[in-house]
Amino acid sequence: MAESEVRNFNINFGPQHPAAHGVLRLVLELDGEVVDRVDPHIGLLHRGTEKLIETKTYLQAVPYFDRLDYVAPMNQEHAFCLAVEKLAKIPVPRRAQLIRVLYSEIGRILSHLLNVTTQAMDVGALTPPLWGFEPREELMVFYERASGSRMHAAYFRPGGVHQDLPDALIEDIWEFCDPFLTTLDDIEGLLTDNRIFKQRNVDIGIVSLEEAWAWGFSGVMVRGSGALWDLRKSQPYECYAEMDFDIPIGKNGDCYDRYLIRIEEMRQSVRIMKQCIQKLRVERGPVTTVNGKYAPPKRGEMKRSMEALIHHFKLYTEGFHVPAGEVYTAVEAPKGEFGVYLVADGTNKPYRCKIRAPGFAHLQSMDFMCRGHMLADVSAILGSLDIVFGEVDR
Amino acid sequence: MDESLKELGSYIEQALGPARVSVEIVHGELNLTVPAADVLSVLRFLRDDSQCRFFSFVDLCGVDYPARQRRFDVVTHLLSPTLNLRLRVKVETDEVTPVPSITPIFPGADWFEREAYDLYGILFTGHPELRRLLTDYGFEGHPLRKDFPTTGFVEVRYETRPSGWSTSRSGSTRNSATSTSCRLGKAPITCCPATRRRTEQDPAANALKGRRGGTSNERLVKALDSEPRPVGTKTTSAARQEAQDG
Repeated sequence: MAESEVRNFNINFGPQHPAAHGVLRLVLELDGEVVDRVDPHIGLLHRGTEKLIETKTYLQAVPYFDRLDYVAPMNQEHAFCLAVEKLAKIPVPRRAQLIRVLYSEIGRILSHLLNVTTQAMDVGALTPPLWGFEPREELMVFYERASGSRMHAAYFRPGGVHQDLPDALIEDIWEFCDPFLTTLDDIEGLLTDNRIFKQRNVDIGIVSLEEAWAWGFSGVMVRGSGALWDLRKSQPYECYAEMDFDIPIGKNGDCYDRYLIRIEEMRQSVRIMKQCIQKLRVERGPVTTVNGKYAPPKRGEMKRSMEALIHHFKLYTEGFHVPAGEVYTAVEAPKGEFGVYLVADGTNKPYRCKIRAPGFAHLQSMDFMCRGHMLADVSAILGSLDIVFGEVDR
Repeated sequence: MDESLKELGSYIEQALGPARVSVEIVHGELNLTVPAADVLSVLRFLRDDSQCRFFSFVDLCGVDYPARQRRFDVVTHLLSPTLNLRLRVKVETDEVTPVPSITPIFPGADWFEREAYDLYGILFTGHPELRRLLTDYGFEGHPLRKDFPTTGFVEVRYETRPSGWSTSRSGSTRNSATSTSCRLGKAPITCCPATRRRTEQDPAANALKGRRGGTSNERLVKALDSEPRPVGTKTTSAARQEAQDG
């Protein structure tokens, strides 16, 4: 073939490809089997969340956050609640803080379990997802028993959490913790030293720390490149400051390091969960702020007190007003720094609510991460980025 | 935290001068307001100065204040992992005045600026590829502007099945079955093939068809075979064009 006839080959990866983790469409330019250019087309799951939130009261905005990263819903709610609480200066009772931390860590395990096992599936292993989804299902039952919903919980509310946890549930979560560590060992036994898994992940998708910061990476993506950075430690919110846990970091910044970090983070999450449960056993008290202007009264109280009835009516029709101002709050979501930039104008609706999703910043780096890699590495890199389209497309 | 923020704020103010930056601390957060012309130099200073080290790019977004003369704010959030502090840089602009793109300093701002362009229509100079990101191929307008209605300008309707539709399925009737297309606002109405299929698998609808003659299964297969194509779809044809362009 004459030289002039040789040209690069364009292929479409997704939006229905099983390794595209949802509705990603990648336009790949290939030189043989080597990737020359990656152009991710996103927005297929764009629902205009930020626009919708501008037309809803602060309380009505909470469920939209479940639908962002739907793999770890409560972590998102958490960022929004922290933003509202910071603007309106709402104190959160200690028991509510403990419950929030407990469920944030459950969310972290939910997300990492899905990511680690499906990443393994992307590179050819079928068993890990089957083993990983069983504990995942158990955790979703804990979600359901607390909030009534397996996924879209709407459980964290500005001022606390919606309802108190029954003691039996707390004990059942305790019962879950230790056996789960064994399951984790089993999953690791399948993958960590697996020759094929290592061949597909070691030295693939290397990101230097400098690049990682400049590209807006956060969470596991910077820790994999060696940054000792975790918002739970460096900018502690709720009661993370009193929890005892370690931050795993990587050395090489490749897909394999990121996998190892996620596995270790799940172990640390169990550690935090156990500490929360021990504290929850003794810590009694309200789980929402007692200020009737921000949180609804108890049902029984509502039946007897006129003031409580008025508060209830106002909260669920007009909603509460948040003083004008702007804040940025971030939580260490499983996928990285999940931030909410909230602009309030003193009314009962947010003026602007920018959702800073970690996956959005990670996905845009596909081009520079995949360049020069083989086509088969694209799915390994994509898997290690931990992308969920709910939060990328918003 | 507040003390170190104050220190940092006055340091930045001194180093850059009041003409290039105005500093305030609200809700324990550091706000810098910068004229559009100085964005690049200010951000480069914030990233490279040894006492700032804001080398982590966090977020960039637009905010719309239609009552103002320059209606948009471009808000950038930065993080300094060494100082463990955050700050916010604001630039004012309007629909026609472009602001400098910060992608030469933070490559991660690429998609964030594309998003701000897509949702607000804010223009950036020096951006490598300023095209739409989140909205559909061929979308018109900037949906996060305050004067853009939440319901949008386009109405999408799924057409109802015309009577006698299931009895005769020749080519001409298929055309008439999907020819409902009218214009409302700017873009044409589209019907979605996926939703059609769902209605046809609806057991109640099948039972109805069964009564008219023929087994419901037979009907279902027929209906699925001759899937009606969407008509008047400016958006899908634009998408196809995009696919060909790659």
